[in-house]
Amino acid sequence: MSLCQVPSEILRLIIENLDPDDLLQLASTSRHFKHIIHDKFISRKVLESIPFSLDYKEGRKTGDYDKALRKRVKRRNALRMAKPFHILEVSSEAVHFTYANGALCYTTKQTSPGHEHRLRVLLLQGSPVQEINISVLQLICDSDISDFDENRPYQFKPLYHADGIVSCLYEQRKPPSRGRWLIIYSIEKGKILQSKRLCSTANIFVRNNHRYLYYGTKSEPFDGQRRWVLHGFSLEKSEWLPRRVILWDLAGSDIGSTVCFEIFDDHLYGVSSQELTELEDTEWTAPGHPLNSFYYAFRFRLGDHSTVEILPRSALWRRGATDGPIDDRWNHLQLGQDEKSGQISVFETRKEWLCSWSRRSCYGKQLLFPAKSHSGGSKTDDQCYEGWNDTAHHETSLEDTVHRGDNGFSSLTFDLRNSPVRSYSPSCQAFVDIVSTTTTSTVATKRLRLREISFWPADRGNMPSDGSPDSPLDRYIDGLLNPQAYFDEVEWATDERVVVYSPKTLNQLNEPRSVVLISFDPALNFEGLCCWDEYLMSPHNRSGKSDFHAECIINTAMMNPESTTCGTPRVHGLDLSHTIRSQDSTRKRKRLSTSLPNGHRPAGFKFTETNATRTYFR
Amino acid sequence: MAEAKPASQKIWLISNDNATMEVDRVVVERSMLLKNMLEDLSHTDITQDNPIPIPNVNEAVLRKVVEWCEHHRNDPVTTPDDESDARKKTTDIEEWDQKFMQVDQEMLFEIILASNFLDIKPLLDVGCKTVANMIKGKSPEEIRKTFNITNDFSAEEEEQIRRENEWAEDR
Repeated sequence: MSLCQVPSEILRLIIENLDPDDLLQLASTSRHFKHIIHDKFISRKVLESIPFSLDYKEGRKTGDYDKALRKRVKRRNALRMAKPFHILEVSSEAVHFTYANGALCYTTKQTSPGHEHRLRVLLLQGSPVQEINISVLQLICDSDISDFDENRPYQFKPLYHADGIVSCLYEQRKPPSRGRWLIIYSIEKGKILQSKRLCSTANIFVRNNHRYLYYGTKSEPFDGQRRWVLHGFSLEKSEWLPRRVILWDLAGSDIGSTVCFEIFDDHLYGVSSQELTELEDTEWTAPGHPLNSFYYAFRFRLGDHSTVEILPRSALWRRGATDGPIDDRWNHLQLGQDEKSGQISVFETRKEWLCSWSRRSCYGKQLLFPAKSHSGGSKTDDQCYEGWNDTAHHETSLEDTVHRGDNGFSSLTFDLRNSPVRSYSPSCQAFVDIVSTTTTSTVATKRLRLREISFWPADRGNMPSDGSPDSPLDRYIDGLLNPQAYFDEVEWATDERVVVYSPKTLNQLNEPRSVVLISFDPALNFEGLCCWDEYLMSPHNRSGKSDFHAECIINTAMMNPESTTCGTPRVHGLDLSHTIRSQDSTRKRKRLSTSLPNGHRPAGFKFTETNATRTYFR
Repeated sequence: MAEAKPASQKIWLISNDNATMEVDRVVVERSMLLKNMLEDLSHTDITQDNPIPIPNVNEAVLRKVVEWCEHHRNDPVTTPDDESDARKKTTDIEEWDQKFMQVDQEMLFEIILASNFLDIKPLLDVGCKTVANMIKGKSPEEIRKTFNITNDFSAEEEEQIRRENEWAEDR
């Protein structure tokens, strides 16, 4: 008796206990198991083990559990291996952009006569990918903004997207009127749902689901400082909720770095890595000082924010004084939901100095809110823990909640200036960075590359590639990844499907710039986007026009049919799913089977501790 | 009609290679198949000379299954709902069961088949989880090695699978 001989009903029972990633590996072993990756029943059972994942929800919606499972496995492998499926320069004339929940929202500035200020929403779902194109001027006019003056400069930028709702901020720049408005737009209905005059836009953020929308600003004056204040809107009843939420004890100002907010199920969660009275660095580093640092975490039920649950400090230990000073420019803070249990955790990436060297690690901490909410707010919660001595408290991070990253000994590290995108994907347990390197041929030019466990594109010259150390394909991808030679910083957003970024120069903040999209989603269909072979065969290329770019036309749903001057955007990009990946197969196999001692790894192969086979945050 | 069951009542089982073994009735009743069978019989029907035949299960495997049932004799009986929940939750296996399952693969699959035949859901579950844990985190080549699976793909098929696995999904 062996695995190949067990009856099919037993095989199904065994497979139900596998993770989706393992299913593909088993299916690749022999003809006998090949079918399991296409078996709807097995795929459903496996996806049911991760009921909080988007893939399970998609499978349930479409009934195509096997397709949802294959997409998931391919997407995660692509991200872990730094082998994207698409690269596109979505726009070369974007002013502001935001990416959230599968939609890239960006505004474009008029660069030629007839091109007006537009809001575009690239919906990274469905087949083919579609883009919504809206006139900003029309949007503002439809918002009933009382003090709008078309002749005075104004700023319009997208803030957030979720559940088909796009939230934007409109600001009239110059006196006498300094109107600031929040505009809530429904893609499905094609109309403004609400516009609201804002008292402040300090650190503004928006989060919503299909029923409620909340926006928050750090604007409530108290004790010489500002506090976070949140306002709620019922999308179902189309009315603002009567009371605002003031978070008196929530510190942190920089969203994504020291504070973060997110909606999961029917609660809004918020976490800060700072406390209201931060200690001086000298106190932290004093030898033997037993001081601890704690997160601050709250949540409230959407639509019922009269009760704010706040976790006690005893449940939120962050780090001890002996953990070494932090280079807080690297800090990244995000909330995530466990795909199996639905448990919410905070993930903090921080770079810590340990004696003479530093290391960037991601720390996970579960937010264990009690199952039943109780009233009373922060004061009541704290009373339960009166007498708990937080300075004498000693705790260490559990190893399976820490993903230890680069320390410079085992791998090459990049300084802050050369790591403009520094993200972490909790669900894939991978650091995903865009790093800037220089090449010997163009030392003065920054060269952006995607870096996870390996670089993409791979290093030139030393890799066993297609024979050419500097192939036209590499050059073409380099051109897409590096839309401009000089930049001061990079604005970015990521999730486990895409990396979106836009390099900018600080003295030209509101000038049009490029937005680059790197996609790991194997099911995205950018209609007309060609792969490398097709590009080489194209008449433009054969005619020797070196400046020709592979283009695709994204179907555009015009929200204002009368504005036909800027209909179909032409997008430069490449479909990498066939060409590059098959050419890279020798590299990949080499990498996977390589177990060379330190210092003997082939140059150009970036091996970090982001080992895909290791499981963190179990 | 079911009769009163003395706690110490003995039941005799005979394996397909004619080995008879005496087991407490409460231990035997971990098997839903045997439990239902015993409920339809008088307690005098099963004797040392008239044991319950267990076809398809040899002595070595039956002794292992009985050993598991002995250890878990006092476990609460799970309902079908509990079982499906438990299966979803985790592939963690308690320490005693892990040691119990440290057998060669032949025996492991025989235990799984026997527990399926005898309808001992918790044992079947532990067996399947053990096999699943042997697959987890492994590459196709490592899985082949672990289970002695022959790679019967032709070079063309392998190339096709590699492409399918890496290429974009139907769009």
